[in-house]
Amino acid sequence: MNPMPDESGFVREVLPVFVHEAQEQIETIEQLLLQLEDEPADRELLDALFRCAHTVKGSAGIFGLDAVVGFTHHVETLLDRLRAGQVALSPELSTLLLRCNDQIRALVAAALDAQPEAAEAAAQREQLVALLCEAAGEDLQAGAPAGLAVVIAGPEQPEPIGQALPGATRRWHLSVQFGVDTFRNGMDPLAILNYLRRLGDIPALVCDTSGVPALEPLDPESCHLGFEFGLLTTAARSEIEAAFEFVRDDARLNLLAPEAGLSEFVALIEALPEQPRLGDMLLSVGAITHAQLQQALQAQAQARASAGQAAPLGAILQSQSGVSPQVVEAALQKQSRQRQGAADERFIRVHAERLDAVIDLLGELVTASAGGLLRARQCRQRELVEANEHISALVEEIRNATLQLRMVPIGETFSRFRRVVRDTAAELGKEVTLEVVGAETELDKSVVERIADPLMHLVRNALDHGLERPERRIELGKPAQGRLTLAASHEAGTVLIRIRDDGHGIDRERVLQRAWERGLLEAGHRPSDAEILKLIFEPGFSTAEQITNLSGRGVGMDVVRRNIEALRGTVSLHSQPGQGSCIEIRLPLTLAIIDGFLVGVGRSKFIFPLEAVLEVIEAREPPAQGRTRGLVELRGHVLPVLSLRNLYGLEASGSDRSSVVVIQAGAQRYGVRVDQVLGQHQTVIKPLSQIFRSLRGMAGSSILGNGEIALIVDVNTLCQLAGQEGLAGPGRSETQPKPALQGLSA
Amino acid sequence: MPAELTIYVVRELREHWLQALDAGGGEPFALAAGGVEQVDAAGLQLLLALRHTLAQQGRSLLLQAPSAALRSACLNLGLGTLLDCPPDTGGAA
Repeated sequence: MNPMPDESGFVREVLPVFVHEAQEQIETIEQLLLQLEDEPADRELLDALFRCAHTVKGSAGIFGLDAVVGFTHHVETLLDRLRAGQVALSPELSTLLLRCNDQIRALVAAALDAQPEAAEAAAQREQLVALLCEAAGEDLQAGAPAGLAVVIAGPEQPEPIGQALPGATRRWHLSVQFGVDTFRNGMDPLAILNYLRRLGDIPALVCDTSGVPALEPLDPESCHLGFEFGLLTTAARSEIEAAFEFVRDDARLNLLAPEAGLSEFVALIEALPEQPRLGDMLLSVGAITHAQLQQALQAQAQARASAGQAAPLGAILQSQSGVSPQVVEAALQKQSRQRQGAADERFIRVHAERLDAVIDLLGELVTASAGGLLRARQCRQRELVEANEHISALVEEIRNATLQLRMVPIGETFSRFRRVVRDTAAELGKEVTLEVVGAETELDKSVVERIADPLMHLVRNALDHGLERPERRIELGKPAQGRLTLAASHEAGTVLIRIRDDGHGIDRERVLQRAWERGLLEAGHRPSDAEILKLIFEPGFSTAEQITNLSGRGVGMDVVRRNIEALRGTVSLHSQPGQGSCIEIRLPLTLAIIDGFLVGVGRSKFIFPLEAVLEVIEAREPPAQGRTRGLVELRGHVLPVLSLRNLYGLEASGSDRSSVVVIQAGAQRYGVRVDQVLGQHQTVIKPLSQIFRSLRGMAGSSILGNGEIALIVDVNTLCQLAGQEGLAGPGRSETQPKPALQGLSA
Repeated sequence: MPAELTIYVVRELREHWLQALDAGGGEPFALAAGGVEQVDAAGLQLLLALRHTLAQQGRSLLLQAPSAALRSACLNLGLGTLLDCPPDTGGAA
């Protein structure tokens, strides 16, 4: 239910911000819960946890997300018990709280799409609420914050607030600021209040007169009045809201439900107009009395006089008047947030799309400036060339700086795995500590987003298949607790991610056996150790004798490898039998731009990633007519060579001369026969459009400075093409989409 | 004060009081409030503004013998302090 229905446009606009911020809080809650497992009695962690839950509930209240408020309230009650030391944090309780946090996450996410909730989800929530109440002890209902007449819906009645307990008298808190045109619209706040008195009893009412100017500047037909008051009534929320029906257009109405704990008052403080003084804020919601405020102010003055520095008002209020710490804290936080405004300006939240738009434009700029340089060189005017070179250098600097903006630390992704490790280990009956190294390592946001799933799979895999059970580990003389390390570092322009476990390592014999069974290897053939380990990434390979519901979810390691290769990354596995395994993932820093190596075949241009190019050799003999694959000798070794002309059916060049570009793809080398070698080229990658996706061996396209289109070679799939059919045979040129390519190269 | 202290008269009442303020007058600024029959929030807000202005001049407002209608309106709007007697004036109400 929305307390400000006529501001729904505003709410729609701000709701995503709330959801985003709530998600951050929820993320923090999860991290705190996980940290608490190691230090269950840490008071500061418990406090922080409580605050986060409070904040989520409070802001959800402002948006009228009753389901979130109602559920989080129960979580909060249990957290309060924990803080008070009345309940101890057991692993089971921790699991329950984590599940509840998932529930809050789901509820918050549901706020955006406004779909009616499935009965199943509601039932699940009810069950969680019941568990929460049980955990918090029988007297949960009495656990409401003191000083507020609070009626809590029982555990068996998790209906949304406002419909709970019909017929019972409940105390609401209303906070109203009437709009400036209220009088002119013919409405009278006095009449509205009198109407409310017919609904119930108003035990206390404060008129906020601070907005009323003096007689001289006053427009007497403008309304400057606001009210804070309690309402004891049996009426439902909708009935109370109806009283404000004709003023809702411009009035600010906060209707705090009877179930509202302190957190709603906390939220109200947050919602009140900018920067009122702390004491007034507390006073205006009735959280403290005037006398308490005066006393506290006095104490503050004394403290300032004696210490030469002001003691925080919040601390004084807390120690002197027993005002609930949460209320004080929220008020203080609000103030300090406002004060820290200047410091916070060093960070700007930017929409990813805007950044992407700039980076797109920069891509065009790189291309355009390359074009300018090319033409300047053609003109052979030294000054023009110099000017263009200067521009190119600047463009490159801007590009690097802009790409830097997209860089995010990988730590966020890593910390998500804490939960996965914890839950997975518990499910498997294993004990695991997760160590994270290099969380500050930065890489492109889009890479981070797309690496999370493969990483998740690898982490699960290590837990499931890598680490032994505690009993087994003790037998082996290892500590009962297994160790899983996630490490990230920068290495030579790439990001290196390692997932290391100290489990039993890879059993080569079993891998071989499986490979023979599955026909991945000729039976009896025994390749090198490294080759055996690579088999694990082959499609259709799985060594798990007992496929669990975790890593055996149908996603094989081959999919992981494919995903990583799609990011132009590589993955490799090292393993010491009995000592554990280490998976290394290498990723490019960014997906947007690569250093390319430009070659020409006929009139078509191709780009190889520069890091894959080993050398260029002169082709001594012309290739056999129509043959896609051939062999050349390179320093005593045989090198398979692929002809792009024959592979893609390109037109013949005028000359007989050709070169072979030697490419390294993973552990393999192969050559690619080309007509011209055009050298290094800064390449802005554009994805291939949907029609060209089926084009094997190509990863993307790029526009050259002169407007020509070049195709970017995917060295890994091209490698597979080079290795096919024993490097000979008639080739596949007939099956390749020649017309498409010719169209592109025009 | 007129019988009606409502939105319909606040504009002229404001002019009237501003003139009275200019004219000086005694301390406290006293208004005969016995004849007030109709009150709304706009009228009470005008009284608040008047009290505000008086306070700036170091003066206070005295509602003399407020009618039942005015009293209940003040109380219902949480403005019971309007009925308070300024110090040193005796129980004028």
